[in-house]
Amino acid sequence: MNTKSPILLEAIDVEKHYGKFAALGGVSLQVRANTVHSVIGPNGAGKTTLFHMLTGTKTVSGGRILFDGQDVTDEPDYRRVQRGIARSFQVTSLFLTLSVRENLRLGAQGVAPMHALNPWHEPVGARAQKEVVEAVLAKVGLESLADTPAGNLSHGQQRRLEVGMALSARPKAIFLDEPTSGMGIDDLEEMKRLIKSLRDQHTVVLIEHNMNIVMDISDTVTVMQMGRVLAEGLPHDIRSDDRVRTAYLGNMITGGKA
Amino acid sequence: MLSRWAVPMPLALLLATVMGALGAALVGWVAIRQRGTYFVMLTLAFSQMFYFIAYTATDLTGGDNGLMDVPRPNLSVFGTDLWTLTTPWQFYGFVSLLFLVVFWLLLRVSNSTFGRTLLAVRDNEERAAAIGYNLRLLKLQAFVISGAVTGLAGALHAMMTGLAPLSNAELHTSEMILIMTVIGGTGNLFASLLGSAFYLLLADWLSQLWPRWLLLLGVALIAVSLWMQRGLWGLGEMLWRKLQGQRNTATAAAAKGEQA
Repeated sequence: MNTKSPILLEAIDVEKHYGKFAALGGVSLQVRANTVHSVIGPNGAGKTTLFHMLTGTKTVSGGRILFDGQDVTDEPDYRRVQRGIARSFQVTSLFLTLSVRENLRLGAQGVAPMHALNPWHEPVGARAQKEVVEAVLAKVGLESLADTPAGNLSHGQQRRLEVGMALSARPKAIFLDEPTSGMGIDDLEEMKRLIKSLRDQHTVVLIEHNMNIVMDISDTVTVMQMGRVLAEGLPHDIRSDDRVRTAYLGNMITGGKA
Repeated sequence: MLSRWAVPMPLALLLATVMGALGAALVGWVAIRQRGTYFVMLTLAFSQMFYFIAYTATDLTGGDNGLMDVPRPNLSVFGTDLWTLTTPWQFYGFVSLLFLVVFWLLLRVSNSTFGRTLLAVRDNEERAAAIGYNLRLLKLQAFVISGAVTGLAGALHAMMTGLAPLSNAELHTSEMILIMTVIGGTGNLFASLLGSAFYLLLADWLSQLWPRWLLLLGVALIAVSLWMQRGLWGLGEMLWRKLQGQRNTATAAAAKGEQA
């Protein structure tokens, strides 16, 4: 599905070194627009590091990153947001003392961050970004909790708000880092439906451990191991790939050393 | 400025405000590169540096003696006096008015888009950067606003006492302001106001009781840090909620009684 759609994001030989340790040893990746592209691999394979590189949370040690035809390699995260990149975090990262609505408003406002320096006007009227906030609230199913502080939400609700934060920036590409981590079985289905529904308007790059979700909703799956790409392809090709089986799927606990 | 070049008083106050803002911009520009302990160390280093600059530059600052004979001219426009400031009460009125104006401005700032975004940065810097905010710019602006207000406060203080002593640039003064904020509660502006009022009244009262009153203040500070980290304001809020709770349970009980 959608294999012919244009390439939105391209990573070319991206490397990341921490001292002598190479967390990423030259990763190349092409993400096509309006697809769900999953990155899987054992713990420590470098998935989250790759995410940090692609979203600009951390700087690369080598290689290039192109987004929407522009070289964004040297741009920090807050600049890439304006190009249409938004992310969620593996470990929930919200403004816990602020209400759900305020969290999302800040997310929406982040696209035009100079407004944040306005020391005179309260964020009301057009500045409240009401339409965006309401749309995201509906999408992640938190309408009834809009005025609750984010810190009072349940884990599943916080994970959904985490995705909502990224959505509120109306990004072209949305990066989800293990959106289902720590979720109970009831919340999982809901999250799966949510991610699947994002493809119409966004490009989704997903890190996920839950194979049921990955195989069900991905258009492309990239398998990483020890800082490199091991295999890439359609979900059913990946599932039947022998290297992937030995490295990961049959061996989910012990990591990539076997 | 008032004592050397006879600048009109409103202009001198304005210049003091601008100087405060510029100084803060300079310190901020360097200090916000670090967070946590290192950030604190940088600001402390700057404060010590300014102290010793003030100490050494005797021509400009009077060195150890500070600035003496700071005049307190009347508020006048084109030679007509609008507000005479000779007696302490007149000056008190003038400062009170300025205070109300500045306090209103600061309230406005803290409720603004900027203030609300700062709350988010306080909650979670990493996320704030990830959703598009330039933390340095935001922090720098906070620094500049705070510096401007402090500059104005310093100028008014000098006009009040007629002196700008070196001790105003001492670590102790910064510490005192910090203690006021901590005692009041770091949540909002009214809490800081409460804190400074409490500090000044307590200091006044304690110093009459015992010359070593700073020791007692230390004890008070330990108590605040240990048991009421949200300060006096937080304590007030808690008591208020308890009262509300009692009233609610009382009405609930009454309602139940009626039903039965």
